[in-house]
Formats: sequence, structure tokens, C-alpha cells
Amino acid sequence: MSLRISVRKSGAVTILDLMGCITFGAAGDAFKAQLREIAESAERDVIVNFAEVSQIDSSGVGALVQSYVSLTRGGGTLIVINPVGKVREVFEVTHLNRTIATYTDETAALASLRSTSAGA
Amino acid sequence: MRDAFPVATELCFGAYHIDLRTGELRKHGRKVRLAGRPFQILALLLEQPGELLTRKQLQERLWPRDTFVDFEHGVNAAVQTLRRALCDSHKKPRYVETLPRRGYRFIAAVETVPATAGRSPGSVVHQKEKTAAAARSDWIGQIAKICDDAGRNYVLLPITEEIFAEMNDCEAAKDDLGISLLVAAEKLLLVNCGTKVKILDARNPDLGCKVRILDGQFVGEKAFASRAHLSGLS
Repeated sequence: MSLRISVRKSGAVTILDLMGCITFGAAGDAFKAQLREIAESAERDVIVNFAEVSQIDSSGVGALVQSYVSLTRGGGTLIVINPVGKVREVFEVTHLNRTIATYTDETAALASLRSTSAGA
Repeated sequence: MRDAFPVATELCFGAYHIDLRTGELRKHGRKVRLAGRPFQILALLLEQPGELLTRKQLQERLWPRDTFVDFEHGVNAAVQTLRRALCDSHKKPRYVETLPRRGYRFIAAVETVPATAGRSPGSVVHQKEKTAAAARSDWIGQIAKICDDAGRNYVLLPITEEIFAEMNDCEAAKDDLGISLLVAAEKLLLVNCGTKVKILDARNPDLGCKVRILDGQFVGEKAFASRAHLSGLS
């Protein structure tokens, strides 16, 4: 199963809606490339929506961690929303759920980014 | 009742060496972070291995009467930290067994460190490793399956025993980013339960084995699988 990535904006926040599997190979490479592009651009705050992702492996986890570190170093934020099923389990096993802020809905994630920006 | 260790200050069990006088715990000679009540609970358990240490005894000895804290939560959290430091599991315990609603019991064999054995923790562990090597050389070449007693579908396999130690250090320090970075660098391999592995080395079987991964994303790679993550060994 391939991966579809849609990019949209909510104010200054970039939101990636993912659909499919993020596994080693073309899908994993596309995910990495998209995150790298965002990390290298002027975007600061990114939300990655996993609601429609059924599987992620270590290559996807690696891409996510690298982007998180890269965005954080640049003063930005990466937030994950809606990880479910096996994806959620992978996040727990790899401690990603404790490394990267994780929310169950987009509104809460956006609110947390706004409050962070307001406090800055 | 088994022998207690009222005067011994250095003990070893599995791959661990504990110095009760200095408050240090080591695994394979590497220091494991464990302090405060989790360390004190371990010390109390080691006073009488094989015997029940009741929750009441724990409360009396470690929580002063004039402190108003949630003892139940405190003892559960401390035992959880202790288990993490020992890479132990409450469902399949190798060291600390829970006796529901009653207390805890230390179930592994405990040895005092003889005064003539020298004070180097490394030398003690090395001696134990040699003993274990003869016992499980028959595992080499066997096929085992990766499993997780917590019932998850995935486990993290370190690529070497050194990375295994680093992972434990991260877990003891609650360094979640450290764990995630080890996964990103593929020093910790995210492996499905049920993955087949071949045992390459079982010099320290109580701790784990060096294995070759036989299927899945990391087929062909070498890794170090803790004993708790290996099933099907005879």
C-alpha cells in the first residue's frame, strides 16, 4: 500500500494529512522527502496527522525523529495527531509518544501551538 | 527459610552486582542508575532472598510514620523503577516477584561476593559469565522467536550488547528522546513479534543472546535480544 500526503495550512501552521503505510521503500522515502522539505523551508510549526495511517516502520520513525530535532533546533515545533492502532503501538514502543507532543484532535494541537506562540 | 545476608555488603545476581555500602548497582561492570527508595527496596529484598517482603514491612521501614504521602502509589512507582533498572517484568519476573496484595519476593539466586574475589565488579561479573557460558552453549544455532510479555506486537532489539546497555541507561534516566534517536539511527531495531532469529552467542544467557534476524525488515542483521524477548529455546 502506498502513501498519500496532502499538505494544507491553518494560519502559520503546516498540516500534513497522511494516508496509507509509511514503510521502507518508496512510501518511506516520500515521507522523508516531504518532512525534509518542510524542515529546510521557513516553516516553523508542523502538525502530522496519522489518522489514516495503518502502519509505520523504523524508517518512518527515523524520519519523524529527525524532523522533530531539526524543527526544534530551528525554534519550531512538530506535533503528531491521531495515531491509532499499530501506529500508536509503534510510537509507544519507540518512546515517540513521550518525545513528540501527541494529540487526539487537530483543534487541541492548534490551540497548543497558539498558546506556545502567544507565550513566546 | 533461606540464608539471609545480614553482614554482606556486596552481592551479585544474574548480570548484576550490588554494593550496599556505596549504594551502587552495576550490570556487566557498567553502573546502572538506581537510587532512593527503589534502591532501598532492592536492598531489603536482598536481605532475605526467596522470602516475602510485605507491603506493611516496606511502609514501616521506608516511609516514616509522620509523612503523609500516598504510600500505595509510592511503593508501586518505586518497584516499577526498580524493575526497569533490572530489565525485569512483573508478568514474567526474573528477579522481583509480586505477591498480589501482600508484597514482593526476590526470586533469583543471590551470591555474596567473597572477600578474596577482589573488589572489582567487572571481575565478579566476568566470573559469573564464564559459569553461564558452559550452561547454555547448546542454544547456539537454535531458532527462536521474538516475543514480548507485555503483549505488544513490536519490540526494540539493540544491535549490540553495548547498545543494550545504552538503552537501559536511557530508560533508567527516562531519556525518551535518547531512545527515539537510537531507533532513528537504527541502533535499536523495531522488530515484529514472531520474527525468527538464530542464536549466535549465548555467553550470558540470563541477560540475552546475540542473534541473526531471519525475516522481516531487518533480515540478515545481527542484534542482541534480551532473554525476555526470546521464546522457543529448549
